[in-house]
Amino acid sequence: MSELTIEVARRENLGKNANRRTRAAGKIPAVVYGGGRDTVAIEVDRPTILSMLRSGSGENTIFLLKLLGGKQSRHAMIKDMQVDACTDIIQHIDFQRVLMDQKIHVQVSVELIGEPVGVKTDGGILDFVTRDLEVACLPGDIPKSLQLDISELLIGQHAEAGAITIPEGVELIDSEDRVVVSIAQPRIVEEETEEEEDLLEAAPDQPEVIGRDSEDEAGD
Amino acid sequence: MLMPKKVKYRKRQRGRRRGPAKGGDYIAFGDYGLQALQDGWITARQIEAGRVAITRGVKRGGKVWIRIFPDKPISKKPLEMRMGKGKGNPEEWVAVVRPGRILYELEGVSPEIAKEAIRLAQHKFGIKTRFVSRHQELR
Repeated sequence: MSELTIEVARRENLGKNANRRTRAAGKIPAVVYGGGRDTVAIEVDRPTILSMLRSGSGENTIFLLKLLGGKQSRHAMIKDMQVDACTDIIQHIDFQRVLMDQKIHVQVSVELIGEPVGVKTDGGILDFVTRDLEVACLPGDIPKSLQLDISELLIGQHAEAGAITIPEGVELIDSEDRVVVSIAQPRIVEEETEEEEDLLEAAPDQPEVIGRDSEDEAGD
Repeated sequence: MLMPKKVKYRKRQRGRRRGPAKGGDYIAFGDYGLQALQDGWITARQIEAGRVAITRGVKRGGKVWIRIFPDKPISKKPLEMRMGKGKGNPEEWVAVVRPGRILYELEGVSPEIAKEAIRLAQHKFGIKTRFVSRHQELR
């Protein structure tokens, strides 16, 4: 595994205003914790983080956090990210220190292999229920994805987490019975256009009011 | 059209819509979605119209999730009615939407079809919305 190094600077001014200034300066406010040490407020360069995320190495990448102007460097990974829902701008990152000889729990994405028979020939709908599974492994053994062959699935069938070939040194934490993919019946094309339009024009009925009867009785 | 089966009270106050969505602001089930960029009241009729537009847009296959539910009753006074004499009768049901809220999700279709279906649904709302996908590029 090639090791990335990210330079970070300690964040002296904390709080909402200081964080806004940090973001305006092209940095992302962040925090690093875990590994039996104190939590430290830091800031990271936005382009560095974006290029790392876009490189496809994903959020489970282990890298070296190097404190600017110091000799300290620690292995860490992204634990959480706050992203603005409307603008997709990263607001804050949580880094977790990683000890290379201790197992960690990570979410690994499931990669589907092949096109199911139920979808290809019968026109079923593939429902990808579980996209990430929790695994425990050493930081150096984190798989990029967990591969699941679904080419044999027919309509009405499903594949469970237990069917995934887990690489050596990796332990599945999620239940083996957990449904990962299911093939649903194809949707019948709706022909009831007039009914739909009537439905849109019709005034709605009123719902039942809970406890209304008892209230009325008490009032009388 | 969507509305609650049972309610505790028939009428409700208007309330305020300040700030971003507190939940339901990420794609949880499908691959693509329609996201609100403004706040507003989305009526049950609009939700149904959007659903119909998406279902017709995807034609065959695909799965659609409606991520909002109209649980707020809106009362109105009849036309040419003098003011006073109490609050009007509940006339419609709306979902309170804040910026960032995912309105619909879609799965099992190509990105082009999803984009077109979502575009058709976008015209049914009086608020700004955008097409989002699960692998939205971060900035």
